[in-house]
Amino acid sequence: MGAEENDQGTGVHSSQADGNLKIMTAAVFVQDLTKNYGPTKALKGLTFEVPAGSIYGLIGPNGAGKTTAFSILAGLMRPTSGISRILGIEVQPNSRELASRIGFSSPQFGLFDYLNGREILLACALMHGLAAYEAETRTQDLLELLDLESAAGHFVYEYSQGMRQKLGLACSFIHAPDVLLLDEPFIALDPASVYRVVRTLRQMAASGRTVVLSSHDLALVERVCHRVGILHEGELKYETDPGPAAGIPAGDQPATAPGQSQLESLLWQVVGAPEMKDLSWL
Amino acid sequence: MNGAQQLQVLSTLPVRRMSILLLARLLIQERWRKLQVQYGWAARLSICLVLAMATWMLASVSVSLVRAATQEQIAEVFNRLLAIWIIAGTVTGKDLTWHVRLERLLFFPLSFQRLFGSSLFFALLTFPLTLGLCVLEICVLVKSSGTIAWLAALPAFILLVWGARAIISLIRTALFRSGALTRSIRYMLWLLIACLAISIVLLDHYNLSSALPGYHCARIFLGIDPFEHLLPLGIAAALLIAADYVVQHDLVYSGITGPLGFRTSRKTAGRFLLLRPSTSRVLWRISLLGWLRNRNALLLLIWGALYGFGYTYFTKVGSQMYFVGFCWMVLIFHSYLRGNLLGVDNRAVWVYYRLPIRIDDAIRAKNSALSFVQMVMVGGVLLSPVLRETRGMTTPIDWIGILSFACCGILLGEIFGSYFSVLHPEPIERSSLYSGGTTPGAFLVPVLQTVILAILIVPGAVARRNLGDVPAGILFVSVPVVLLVVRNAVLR
Repeated sequence: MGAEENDQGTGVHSSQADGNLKIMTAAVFVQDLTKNYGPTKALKGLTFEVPAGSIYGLIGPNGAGKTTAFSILAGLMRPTSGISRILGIEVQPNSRELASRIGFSSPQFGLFDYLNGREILLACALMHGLAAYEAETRTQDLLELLDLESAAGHFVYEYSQGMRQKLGLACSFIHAPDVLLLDEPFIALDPASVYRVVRTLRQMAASGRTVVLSSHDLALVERVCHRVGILHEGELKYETDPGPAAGIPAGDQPATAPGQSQLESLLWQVVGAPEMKDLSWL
Repeated sequence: MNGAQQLQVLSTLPVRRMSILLLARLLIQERWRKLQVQYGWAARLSICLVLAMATWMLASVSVSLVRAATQEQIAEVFNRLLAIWIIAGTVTGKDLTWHVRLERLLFFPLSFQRLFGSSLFFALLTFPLTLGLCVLEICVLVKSSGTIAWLAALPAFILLVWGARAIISLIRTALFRSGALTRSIRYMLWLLIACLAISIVLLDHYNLSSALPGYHCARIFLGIDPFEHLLPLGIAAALLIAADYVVQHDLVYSGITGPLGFRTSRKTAGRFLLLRPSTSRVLWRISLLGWLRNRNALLLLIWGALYGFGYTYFTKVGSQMYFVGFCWMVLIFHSYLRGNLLGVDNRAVWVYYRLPIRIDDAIRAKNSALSFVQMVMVGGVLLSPVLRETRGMTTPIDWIGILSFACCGILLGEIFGSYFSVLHPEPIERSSLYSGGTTPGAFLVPVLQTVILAILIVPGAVARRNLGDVPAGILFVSVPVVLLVVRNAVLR
């Protein structure tokens, strides 16, 4: 089972003839992306595409290559080989053209410790070219939306992990980008914030914007994403439309245990079920 | 059995006391491995060799100096060294001792008393202190041979280290973290610091030098009733350590791990950025805020500007070389930060690459914000001759010469800072990927700045003496202009 075999579901490996057309139409297009950190191969020919106006989820175990993929797509890292295009523009490190059209957030990266939350949002907005009034309005809206208003005057190093995460998300939203790349957007968020973020993402997708996210919360991914890819050991092993087994070939229907979602069963089927060691002394 | 009952049973179980030796072994092992990751074997061996050579050289120089020194001179040296140690430790946060973070060790089954006690032991395990102790012991042996002073020198040194460390810890806690303390402890801390400051001023004013630690150290050093003089040092150190214990206990259990930040009201937060914003202005402003809110950079700024002004104003000393020296000193304070201008933002550095800006604009903003900070410090030094007539700063050419020197220093910092920040931003320590203070540039920028400034002084002085004021003035103005052109070319 793999992306190569899942033609009807993904369309990842369709004929070369309409390849160029896909590059033109897909908001995010990734082909044969590899990344080596010395002898370690983080990505081994990652290929997927995301149509405009959809939410795409990347799931997979720790160390699967999700953050590496996001860093390359955000232009923060050069790939070893392969092509990645966003909105038809080839992703290059420090590309100013793409920077203004992409929003990126990742808990792996920090924010300025010695600025307060409002200043960080304002700085991002102003450097994205927004007028002062617009920057102020959007900053206030986002602070209210993400329940950060009371902490807006505090330095970032005083923020909790969840507050930092919300501020990072707000920075990625503030210039209303066409494509959002969100690495682990729900990590450390409280349920109310998760609800608000999910609603915002759906609203953005409905208005034609594209969202690519990764998460370990499979139930949430199942609920939010239009399409999900399972990344394992640097390769896209499987792609599916989440929900009630839609898009999963009949033979591949995973058997779900009680309390287990379809996506969870599928993930375990693809990457292998977790082995459990009993602690006799516990 | 429900959860609460289980917890009750667990809490009554005898907890095996963790051996302090086990903790010591654990922490030393961690430290050793960190050094291994940071430097590797070759570098560690080099450091050991360099330190051994430094000890030998320092000892031979010190021995030749102390041979002819009197008791008063030795006491004065000890007092001054202690004052410099405390000031430098307070300003930079580096007091030469090893600080184990107590809050990190709280989950071990050890009482706070034992943790604090072990931290006093760990404090001594650093290379600079070992080097200091070796030099001291060699000097004691030379100066007071045939006595047992060398036996008393070790505890005296340890008491000095613990005392200085406790004072630095108390002052820094009062300055940066007093908000985390309970009210009574906070007031006690401020009262203690005020009492210490007043007593030092009074002792100095009434010439009661025998109450200062230098006097006792000198007597121990010379073998004059060495063990008797350990007592006052021991009492002072014990009182300071006890005060530090109370403060640290309160601080660690406050649950506030970092310094409490400066807070702005919701209405005023961000106003500075919104004033006629443009990309370059916003970049410059966030860079400046970053420098000013970094407590070490801020403390250096306040210390440099106030000390520069206060010393020149109140001591009434002055000459061209004196002002040159002072300007050089305040410029050199922040020079190491130019080694990796973006790296000082630590893990936030990626933001610059995600914004639709050019990286050279970010470097330019960082450079000019730091130059502004340095200008304020130079301004502090030069304010004194503005307010009162000062020797060496009376004619226009004196002013042009000093301003030219300061501008050259700042421009050289910007030129070399840009070069190293762009081409050699990698840290020397392999593990501190984001640290701006450990790059080759952090060491080379101050050195290059100093060497070139020293070279520039010579033609200036020669021109002034041999050619007269006007050609010298032209030279003083033209050198910064040339450097400005070079700076702009480098940044482009």
